[in-house]
Amino acid sequence: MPLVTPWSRFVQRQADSAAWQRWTCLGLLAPTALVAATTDAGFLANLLLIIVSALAADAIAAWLRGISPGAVLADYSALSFALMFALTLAAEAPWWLGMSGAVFGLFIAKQAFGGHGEYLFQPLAAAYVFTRLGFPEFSGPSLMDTATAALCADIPATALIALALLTGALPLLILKAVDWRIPGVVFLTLILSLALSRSIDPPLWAFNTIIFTAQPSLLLVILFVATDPVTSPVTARGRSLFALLIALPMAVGAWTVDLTTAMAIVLLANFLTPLIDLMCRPRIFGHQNRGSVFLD
Amino acid sequence: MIVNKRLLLRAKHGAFSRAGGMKLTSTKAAALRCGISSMPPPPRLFLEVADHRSRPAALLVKAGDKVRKFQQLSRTVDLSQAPVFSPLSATVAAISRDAHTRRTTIRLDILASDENAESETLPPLTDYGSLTAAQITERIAILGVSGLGGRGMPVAHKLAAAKKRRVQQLIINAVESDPDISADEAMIRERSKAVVEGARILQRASSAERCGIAISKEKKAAIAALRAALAGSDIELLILPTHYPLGEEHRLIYALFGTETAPSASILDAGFLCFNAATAHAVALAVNRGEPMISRIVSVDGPTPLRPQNCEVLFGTPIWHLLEVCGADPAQKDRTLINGSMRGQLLENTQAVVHSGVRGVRILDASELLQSDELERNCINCGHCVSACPVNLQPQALFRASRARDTFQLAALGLEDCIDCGLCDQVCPSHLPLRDYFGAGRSEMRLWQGSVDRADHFRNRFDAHQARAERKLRRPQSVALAARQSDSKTEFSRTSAKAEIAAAVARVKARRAERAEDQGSPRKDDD
Repeated sequence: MPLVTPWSRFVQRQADSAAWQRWTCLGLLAPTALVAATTDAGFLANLLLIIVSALAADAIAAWLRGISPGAVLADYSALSFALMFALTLAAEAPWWLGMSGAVFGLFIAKQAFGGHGEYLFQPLAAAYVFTRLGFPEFSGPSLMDTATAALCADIPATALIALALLTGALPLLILKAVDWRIPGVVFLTLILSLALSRSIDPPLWAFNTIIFTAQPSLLLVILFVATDPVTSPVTARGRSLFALLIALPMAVGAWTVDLTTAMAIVLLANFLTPLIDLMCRPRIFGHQNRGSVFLD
Repeated sequence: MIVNKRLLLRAKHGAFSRAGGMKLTSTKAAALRCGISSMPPPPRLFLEVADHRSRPAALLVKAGDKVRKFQQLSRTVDLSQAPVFSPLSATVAAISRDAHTRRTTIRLDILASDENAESETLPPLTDYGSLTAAQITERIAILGVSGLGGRGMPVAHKLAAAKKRRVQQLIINAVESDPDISADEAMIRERSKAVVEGARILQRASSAERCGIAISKEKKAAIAALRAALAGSDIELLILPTHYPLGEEHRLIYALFGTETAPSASILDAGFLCFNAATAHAVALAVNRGEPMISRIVSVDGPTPLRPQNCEVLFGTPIWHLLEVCGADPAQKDRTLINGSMRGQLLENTQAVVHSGVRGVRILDASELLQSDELERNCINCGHCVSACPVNLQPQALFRASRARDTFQLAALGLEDCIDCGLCDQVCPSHLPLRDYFGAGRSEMRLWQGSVDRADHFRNRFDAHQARAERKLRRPQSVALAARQSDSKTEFSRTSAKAEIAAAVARVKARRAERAEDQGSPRKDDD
């Protein structure tokens, strides 16, 4: 007999964190399919390998921690990690690179920190930076950015992938699974920097900023990695500040920012998240100040 | 009657709508379709009398006694506890005390006779205007009127606390923002005159400068009834938007007057006094008719075959009996919630009875139960609870601190200011039972506070002892000598010593007799 708990009647109709992860996976299906269509079968084999190793790493780590592996896999976070990680790999990446990245991301960056909800650094960003630093010889641009085979007559494949990513993130924004402020502030900062730079050196900056924001791998970082609620601050103000911290180096770096830099920027911002949370903690109703400072 | 329209305006554009809270789907309509139904008296009533501090309750009856309706059954020591009255003519079948809950239960077997008994305690009153504030408070105290808003604090106790401070505004709270409790609304529809009368009495008793009845705007029938009852009165009608948890007094005061008061502090400090509308009604009955408080209106809600309704229920009625009378399916009784789905508790004690704190009983529908695959997941820091919290706490951090039993962190994060509204629980996508965690955190804090207090107590004792010893040592030689000499000067006399001993024994005996009469217990009070 299943355990049934009576609870607030509203809970059922409300948000569900596992559903959010399912939506993330669904949103990543279209970009993955587009990348698969523009590359060879090696990508699909790699994707399968990454998924299997990610799920296995998550389950084994859970088992080692004494938690039911089924319950850990049921939140779909390992699957969404695997889908995103496969998209970020370079064309020349050997089969074991994706596998080792997935194992690092889930075993070290996620489970060693206490599992979903407890990690300090976004596992995808950590895994990506790990593979880049550990194996620099395979650090070419990701498959998303190098998808050249034209699917339609006039539209480049990268633009289609970027569009698919944007559409995939839309349900998450509507469900409030991710805070709109993070992508919102990042895009706003980039647009403002574009407007500013146009007045300084019109032709060069305008062109580069547009190309830059349309890069699918950077969209992936902005929409899916930076917005991870676990590693972003918890208050609205904190999230805006966090997004500004991510956007400013991107705006300054402009066209020199690639996927590796973006991931590193997110990791640095994750590093500051506890501090931002502390600085932006709200004033409790009826109290004059924010109370004493306690760091975790 | 003054209707404050500015409030509505402020409610639309004002600060409070930004400060959390939520508009919830209401299920009150079903219970409000019919008027207040009176329940046939149950065969047995179980009246609970809580211990006073560490003493068992002082009862005025013993097993086997016959009691009449309105007869007083227990006596109280001070205003912090209200006396208990017999709701009907009955026989005292048994008296038992539960050492764990520290409650004495009086079991009454109801007699099928004299229904129209009169109050034994106090005669009815023709005009309370002739009484002073202190006399009204005394009358309320004698008749055992307790708050009906949920906490059940004796009204006289609150009034006595208010006497020491200047009360600027008295608020009669009829907001009842819970989505599934409609007891106050049903009561006001039918008995608005008594509510207004109670408001006047309370204003007089508390010497408040202004008095207002706060109600939310969706209660149209109740507002119309209040308007009629308030005609020609200087009591304000304060109409608020429908918003949960506006019924909580600190939120209410903020919405009405823009004054922020910390939920951990008393609103009296800011010059406010707040009573529930049902309490005002009970006060009117007590002061005018001399009737002690023996019943309350309970909102009953749930799936068919239960008939949702508002029932006037005698105190001491078993909740399961009430549900049976309302037609509940016995198989569903194990998912009964007390006091609504937002702030309520699951009824686990099958013998629980209706008392002044039970506002509503609700059976959850099968579709409202969380299934096993929807149970608690990890907190993912999504921040929904932070934006939902009406008092700007950080429930996700409080959850982690509660789990870690970190009392310092709990105190720093302001758990004391949590109003237990249940909104964080409701929005949590990981289905964390946050209210339960906070409850555990609160008891952890209490334990911690207790150990701190104990340590302080013994440290003070030790310090005092050290100081005494030091004083003794430092006493000048001459003074010590003089004391010794004066001791030796008084000569020992057998007769005077005997007389002294006899006097001391008599004193002790007198004190013991007095205490036994007073308490019915030989135990020494340890405060």
